[in-house]
Amino acid sequence: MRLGSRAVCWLLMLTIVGLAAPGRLSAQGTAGRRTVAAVADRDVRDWDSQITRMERSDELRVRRTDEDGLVPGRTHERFDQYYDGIRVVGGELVRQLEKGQTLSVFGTVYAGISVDSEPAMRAEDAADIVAELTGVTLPAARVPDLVVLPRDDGGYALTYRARVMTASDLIIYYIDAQTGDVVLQYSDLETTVGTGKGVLDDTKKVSTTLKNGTYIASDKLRPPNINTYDMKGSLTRTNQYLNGQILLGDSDFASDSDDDWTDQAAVDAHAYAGWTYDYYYKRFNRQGLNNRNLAMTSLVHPVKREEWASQPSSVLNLYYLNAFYAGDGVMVYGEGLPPNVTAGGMKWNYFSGALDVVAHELTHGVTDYTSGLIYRNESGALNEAFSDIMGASAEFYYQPLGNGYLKADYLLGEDLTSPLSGFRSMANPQAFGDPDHYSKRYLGSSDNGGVHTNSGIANQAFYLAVEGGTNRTSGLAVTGVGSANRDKIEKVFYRAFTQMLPANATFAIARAATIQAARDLYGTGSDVDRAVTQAWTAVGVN
Amino acid sequence: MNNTPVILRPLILAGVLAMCGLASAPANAQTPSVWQGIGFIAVDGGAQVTSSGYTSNLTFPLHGETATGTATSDAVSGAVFTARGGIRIWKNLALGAGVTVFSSTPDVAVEASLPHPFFFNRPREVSGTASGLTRRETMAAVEVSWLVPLSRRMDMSLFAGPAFFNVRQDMVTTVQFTETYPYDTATFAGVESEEVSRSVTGFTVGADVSYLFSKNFGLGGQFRFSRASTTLTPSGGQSTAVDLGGAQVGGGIRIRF
Repeated sequence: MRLGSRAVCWLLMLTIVGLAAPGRLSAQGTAGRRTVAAVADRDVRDWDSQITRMERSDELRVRRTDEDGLVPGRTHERFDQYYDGIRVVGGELVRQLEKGQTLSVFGTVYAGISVDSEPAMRAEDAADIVAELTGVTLPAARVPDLVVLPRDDGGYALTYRARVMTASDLIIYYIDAQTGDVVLQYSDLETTVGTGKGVLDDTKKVSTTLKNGTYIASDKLRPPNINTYDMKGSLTRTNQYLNGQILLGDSDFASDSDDDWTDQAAVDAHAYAGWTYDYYYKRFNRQGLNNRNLAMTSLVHPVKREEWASQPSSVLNLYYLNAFYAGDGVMVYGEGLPPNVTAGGMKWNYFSGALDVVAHELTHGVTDYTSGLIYRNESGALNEAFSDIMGASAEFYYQPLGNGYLKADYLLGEDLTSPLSGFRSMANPQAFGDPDHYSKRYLGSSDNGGVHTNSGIANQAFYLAVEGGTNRTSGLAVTGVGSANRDKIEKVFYRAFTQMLPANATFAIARAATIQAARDLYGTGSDVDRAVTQAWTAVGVN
Repeated sequence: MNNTPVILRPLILAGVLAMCGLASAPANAQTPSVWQGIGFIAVDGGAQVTSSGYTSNLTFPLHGETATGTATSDAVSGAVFTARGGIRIWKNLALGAGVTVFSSTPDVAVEASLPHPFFFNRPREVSGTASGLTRRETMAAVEVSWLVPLSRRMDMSLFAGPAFFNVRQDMVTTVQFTETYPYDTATFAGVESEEVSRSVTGFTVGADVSYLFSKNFGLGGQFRFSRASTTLTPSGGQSTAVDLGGAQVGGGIRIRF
């Protein structure tokens, strides 16, 4: 048995350095557990030298070093504590560095560890015990790890840690490495799959998380964090969050008591955000908005529906009859209007209730992290068009073709309006007063130079490249690739708009880039090349 | 598959040899017409060679839907231990009892359809083989035997009677699997099981041949067929019809008194 002589040194050191400075170190729970929060110069220096010393004595090992994504030039080192070469569960320090200088140290370390570090059984034996307990035979690559477990009673145990997925649970086992007894086991499964009705009363699954007995709209099944918050009609709080003045906490999540969700706006916002992530991943192998699994945050109920009549038109237009991408992966979905109220001759439902709208807003995030198309004039119209194109494409990916609610078509936002019409058409932009030809483009200054109007030109080009047909203005016919090959045109536009367009792109640049993308993907002279070229020509972009 | 334990093989061989002895025994004019003795005891080891398989249907909740599947065990062999005894009550008629214990751990083929975590009606199909699922059958029978002397040393008995079965079967309850994003496929990883016990009445019939080396001791062989049918239902699961018993052969020691 090798008792930790180093641990004794540790205890002395902590007594001198730590307990003499309770602001830096404080004992919590387990007897030997010490928390570290060193930010003052002297404390930082002390811990810096302690880290160096512990690294030399193999009591700390660097697990990983991360570049600071927000403050350039800074790095964060994450250390694990070891005892006789065995990792101590929960023993961890994080050191922030800038140009080699330590700025802060946070973490938890354990002192006074005293365990026999020679296990009486092999990891395979522990795996057998787990197999007896669960019926799951762990593969060789996942045999249990030997770790030192700080116990709640203040002692320590040499254990094997195994993580086992059964059909009903994800369980963490700590098996005593001397006796084979289960020292600790707990469920590591917080993620659940709930169900709920969407805005159109369709039942769908929602990926949720059980937290403190309540199911919250936090999707941990997909690679990025996808969270949906219920702003409970507080415009003030919504704006404070969007302005970075407050953070949202657990109590702000859209939630449900039994995972059978009844908040239809939250159900659709949450589910459709996940679907959109899936669409981008499966179609383009893209990992989220920034291709690095940026968290996706949806805000629903930013205002109260019943207060619509007392709102100024600016609030009505932004938070009732609109949805928008607020940057940094945050979407805000308008509340719509009460069922007995119309605007523009239509009834308006919750804006999260339309998949194409959700995918449209999230695509603004993709654009933000790729071409960065400037949101005015032609580049702004291309920005809007790309969102429309991806929005409609997501619809076609998930929904059956046809006319009606929850059907895939070339209308935008039709699922949230009654009568079923939406507010833009890619097949016939003129039906909503939008140009279908470059010669008819809006040249005024309103709407940032007509970004929601002139998008119809590129929308029509996409539509014609897929479906073929004749442009109503030019009378030019296009041989499309056909709906069975819609994915090819989607890939062409995705490639061009995310990887080739500059921020101040024009329609002419978009034409050239999409044609080049078609040739890159499918070859010069291919059906796709021809369809894209004809489509832009038909809409007057040369 | 041959699940007969090695240790039982000599006993089976002994039984076979005893039967061979019967076949080669010379006709004996002094063969008694009435079985000589008060009673008998037979202890055999052997194999149940035609155990019935079963297919159980699985349903369990998963991702907001119901996962479905089947677990199928083909008919397999297994080791069987038998002890029986009887007392002659009238001429060649004897009344007795017998006990057999059978155990088998066959592989079970599992197929399942697992709901997708994100979408309704997009199941993922998985299949695999589960091992370590044991069936243990214990049969206690009241046996009426007709004892047929073949020579001074050799006799045969035919027996039949009601049999009381207890079965303990490890039933598959859920399928374990692994899945990773985007979860469009899943991989079979094992099963969770539950031991289900049930008692039921059936019957048994058989024949036994004994050859005595001394006045009281000898070797013998036995063939038996037993059968009972029942259903096994794990908690929260569906009922599965299973047949118990089957054809058994074995051999072992014989005691006549």
